[in-house]
This record gives sequence, C-alpha cells and structure tokens, in this order.
Amino acid sequence: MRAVPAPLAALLGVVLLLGVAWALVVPPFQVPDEAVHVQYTQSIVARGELPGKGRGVLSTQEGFALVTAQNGGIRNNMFPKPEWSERAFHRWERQARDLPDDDGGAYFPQSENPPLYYLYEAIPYVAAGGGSFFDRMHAMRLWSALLLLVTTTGAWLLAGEVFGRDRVLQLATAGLVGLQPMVTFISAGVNPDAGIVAFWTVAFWLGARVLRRGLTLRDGVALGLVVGLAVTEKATSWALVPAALLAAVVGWRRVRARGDAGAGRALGATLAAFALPAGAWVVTAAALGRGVTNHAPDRAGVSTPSLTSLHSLREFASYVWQYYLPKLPFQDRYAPLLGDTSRFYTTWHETGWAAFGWLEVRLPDWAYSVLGIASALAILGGVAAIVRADRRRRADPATVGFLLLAALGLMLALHWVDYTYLTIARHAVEQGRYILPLVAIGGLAVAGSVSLLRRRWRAPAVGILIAGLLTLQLASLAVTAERYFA
Amino acid sequence: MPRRAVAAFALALGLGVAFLVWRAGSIDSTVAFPVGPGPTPVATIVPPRAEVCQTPIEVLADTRAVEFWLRTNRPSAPLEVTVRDLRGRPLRRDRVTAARGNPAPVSASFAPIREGTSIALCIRNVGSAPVAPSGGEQEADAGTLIAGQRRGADLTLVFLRDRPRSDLGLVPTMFRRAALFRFGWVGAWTFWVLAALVLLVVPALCAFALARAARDQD
Repeated sequence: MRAVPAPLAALLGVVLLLGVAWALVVPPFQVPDEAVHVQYTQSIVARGELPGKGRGVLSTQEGFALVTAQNGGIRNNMFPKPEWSERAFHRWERQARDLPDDDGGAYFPQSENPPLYYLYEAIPYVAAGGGSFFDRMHAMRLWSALLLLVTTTGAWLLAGEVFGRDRVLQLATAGLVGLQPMVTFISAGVNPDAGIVAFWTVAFWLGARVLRRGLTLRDGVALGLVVGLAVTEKATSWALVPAALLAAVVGWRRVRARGDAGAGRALGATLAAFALPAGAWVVTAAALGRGVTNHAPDRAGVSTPSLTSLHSLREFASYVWQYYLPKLPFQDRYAPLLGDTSRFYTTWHETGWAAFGWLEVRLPDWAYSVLGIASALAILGGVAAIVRADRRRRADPATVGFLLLAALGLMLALHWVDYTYLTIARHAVEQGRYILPLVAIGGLAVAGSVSLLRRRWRAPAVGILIAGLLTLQLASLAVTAERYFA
Repeated sequence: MPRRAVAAFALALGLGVAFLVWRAGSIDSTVAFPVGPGPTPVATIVPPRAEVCQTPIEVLADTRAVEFWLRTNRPSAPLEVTVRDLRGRPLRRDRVTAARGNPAPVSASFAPIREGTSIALCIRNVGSAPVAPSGGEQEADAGTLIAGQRRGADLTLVFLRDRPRSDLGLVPTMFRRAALFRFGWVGAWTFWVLAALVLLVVPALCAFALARAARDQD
C-alpha cells in the first residue's frame, strides 16, 4: 500500500481542522434543512423505518431542542440570536431527559430522499446514544465532515489523472475543493449534499482514470459502484449516469482496441456494479411504495411540466435562456423570472461561494465581486489550458467530454427542478450548494490556469491561492460567529 | 522554489489576516443582547394609561439602556419605561417620548444592570392615544403581560451597553455563547483551542504542504 503523499496528508489535516471548526461554530439547525435531515436519521434509528408516515415532522425531543437552541426561531431573520443563556441550557437539559424520539417522521419534502446518507449518519447517531440530543447531532456533523476528506482526496487523485504526477497542480485542485468555504460549511453540517460532493468528486477521478488507462475490471467496478451508491445518496446523482456511461464505454473501446480480451467482462462488471446498489434502491422504493426520485408537489389546476410535452420543453428552453441572458425578441417572457436579471449570479455564484446559515449570513457585497472576477479568470484559464493542451496534442477530448457531460447533466437536472417548482408554485428552489458536486471541475480549472504560468511561478501562485482560500475560510467563520454570537 | 512558494503564501496570508483583524477591530457594536423578533411586526396595542411588560428577561450582558420600536398616530407619545424585578418592584425608571413613525425607535436609559439579573421591562403609555410597540412571538419561556394578563407575543427590545465594543473585543463572550447546545464537554476553552489550531497549525500545515509539493516539482 502506497503512503499518502506528504502535501495531501498536510492538506487533509487542514481540511479536518476547519471541518471541526465549522461543525462547532455553526449553531444547531443553522445548516439548511438540518432539522429534517437529522429527523430522517432519527426516524430510521428510533422508529425503524424511513420517514414519511410518522406522527409529526420532528419528534418531540428534536422539536424541543430546536425551539430552545434557536430561542424560538432565528431562521431567515437576522434580528434574533440563538439562545445565549446558560440557565436556559440547563433548564433544557432537565426538561429534555425523557422526551420521546420516536414520534416524528411524518412527510416532509426531504423524506423522499434516498436513504444512504442517513444510514451513514445513523452510525454516529447510535454511537453517541449515551449523550444528549446535541451530543448526537454534533457527532453526526463531525462524521459528515469526514466526507470532506474523501472529497479532497478524490480531487487530488483526479488532478493526478488529468495533469499527471504534478504535486503543485494536485495541491491547487485539492486545495480549492477542500478549502472552498461553502463545501466545508455544508459538509460539516447534517446534509446529504456533503455526500453527493464526495461521490461526484470520486466518480470524476474514476471516470478520468478509466478514460486515461482504459476500462479494467477493478476500475470499472469501482466507477459503477460509486455512481450506483451516489444515486442511493441523492436523486440528483442520476444526472451523473450518462457521463459515467460515456467514460465506461470509451474506456472499454480503448481497451478493446488494444486487443484486451477482458474488456467485455470489465464493461459488464461496471454495469453490474452500478445496478447492484441502484437496483436495490429501486426495488426497495417500489416495495415501500416510495418514489425512486423526489417529486414536485401536485397543485390543483396547475399542470406539472413534462419532458414529453413540447410546450414544456419550449418554455423550459426559454426559462434557461432567461436565467442567464436577456430575453430574445421572439421569446415569451418567463414570468417567474421577471425582474430578476442576474439570477445565475445571485444563485450559483453568491450562494455557491459563501451563504451560510439559511443563506442569510453573507460576506460583504464587494467580496462576491472579487470572487466573481477570480472565478471568471479561473474558468478562462481552464479553457486556455485545454486549448493549449489540445494544440500540443496532449488533451484527451473524451476526458473533457466526460466532465462537460457530467456538468451539463447536473445543470439540466437542477434547472428542470427549478423550472418545475417555479411553474407550479412560483417558488425557486435552486441554491448555489447544489452545484458543489462540480467543485472538482473548478479545482481543475484553477490548476489549469496555474499550469499556464512558467514553471517557477506555479508554486508561489498556488501559495497565494491557498492563502486566499484560508483568508476566505477565516472571514466566513468570522461573519458566522458575528451573526450568531456578537 | 519551496522557499519562494512559502514566502508568497506567508505574505498573502499575513495580509489577509491583518485585513480581517483590522475589520474585526473596527466594527463597533453597542448591542448587549436583543429580545423579540425584530422591529417589523406589531406585538400588541397598549391603550392610554395601560402598561405592557416583557417578562422574564435574563440580562445576558451588562446594560444601561434599552431601545424599542413603536407606532403611534400622534406627533409624540409620552411613555414611562420601568425596569422591575420579577416581583414587580421597580428598579430603574425613565420617561421618554416616541415620535410618529412606522415604527419609530425609542431609547430609554437607566443606571447599569448587571449580567445575570432577571428583570421585567415595562412600557407605560402615559399619553392619550393608543400605541403599538413592535414585537411578536419569539421567546420560548417569556412573553408580555398587560394588566396582569399573559399575551403570546414578545416585545422587540435591544438592550445596549454603556460603551461600544468591537467584534475583536467580544471574542471571549462569543466563545462562551457558542459553547452552549454542543457536546456536553464543549466549553469556551474548546473554541480557544480551535482558534489556536486554526490560526497556528493550519497555516503551518499549508506551508508544509506547499513546500513539499514545490520540492517534488523540482
């Protein structure tokens, strides 16, 4: 077994420490939807079933913990603070001792999620069973933060496949992924987005590996299994399947072209490895009368958009265009986006970089402009690096296509969900954290930009990048602490 | 090359941290602690000569003034603000006048009240027209009383310190507050240790990672 490279080991130490800091600084329930995600796991452990048919949304135990720690309620309201009183805390300790934990688990939108992340979180929930509700909740947060180590390692390995054994570029890629503040914030809370970021990053590495080296039995099984598990972790991961399939098929063709007799077996094993967890979830969901994916609520008198409806597809195309660009003369105005001229900036960019709590804890506005310029430079640099590599015949179009297809699949899935909710409920559901599964591609773009520099300037440039990300982490922790505790 | 990379990292991080420390030291706040949901909603209507009390209030930081918000349709509304103990005995008192506004902020000052005291904050309408203080349902174990009757809503109040404190100066207080509702063993000390790790060990690890990566590239 090979030793962990020293730069990666040190980076993982940094990522772990920051993950612990986030898990302890953010007040309970101030990660988006954290209460219902905790409830999902509590429902599995305390009731022995997936949520959806319980008595209340939250158990009495969790509901009381939420009201007390939030001092009534602080969600989306910057005025009140969480409970600061030690007396209130000790009062809660006395009163919460024997409250039931098995009377929650009624339907909530996230109860439609597949169960893998919540089963993973059941381990710390059970392990911390001798403690209070908050002991369990913070054990879940720390356990979730470990996924950040998987994500960071996946990004390091991905860069190794794309750039070869170049430690500086690997550090740039993994550094961006492991130190991006929104990734840390989400991963260090109880939220399945921690898992999807890890799964997608590892899948990118395995896909790039299959494309570069050809489809072997071991790599194919690993890729199939990771993508299969990803769809049992969050339904959005079905958007990864076409890209993974592309990687497997191209990898299979490349091996077959070399005359390897085992190519067909490797492809079959890849598909079987995917089908095993994904199929198990499909069968389980059918047996339990649940959907395999999440569904938009039905509204009386409003027809839900359909992929088989030409009208829906045309309106969807118009919606996507107007999400990013001004309306064209021949297009109808998509009313739910009316007056919102920079949705992609406020959603994908701002809340993808730094929007903590329930999105209301922000950096100063100018910081997003700086991050916007930095992001644009990274994207342009990444494209320039691909063009340069292509001219030197060192770029692999299949790898570029694989990553682009994954990105396109995710964006299409997210936009379809957003369009559906906007159409039936005038309610936008997209948040920047939903594109974090693509953060490793961002890491590659940054490393690609660095690769354009002369060799002797690359390491100092990565030094400045890491320093910038650390400053951003500190600033993010500071605004979070200020909002809740000052 | 490793030396140049670490120097660039150290310089950039030093500038970043210096900027953050400067910002944290220059943002001053006089807020000791808030009560209620904020200035927008209306808590209740207080008729002439009636008194509304928010009780109980645990004083979470030393304070010597309170700010609240009020709606009135008169050019001015005279009010008497009384701090009472939980038995109803007056401890501090101030007379103030609210201007017309939607809502208008009102401040009352009094001799200092120490952290840890439990009080009621009462606003008596001594004018001739009803007034509507801001508030709403917020606090789990408190509420308002009018003529001895318990109401569901809470008054929105901001208790103020006698002098402003910077975010940097509030760090010990913030760590104490952050330690609640965590693992049972977490205390303010945990956050001091974490802060030391994040400010000392994290940069050291990053510098090490950079140096090793740059060396490998050489």
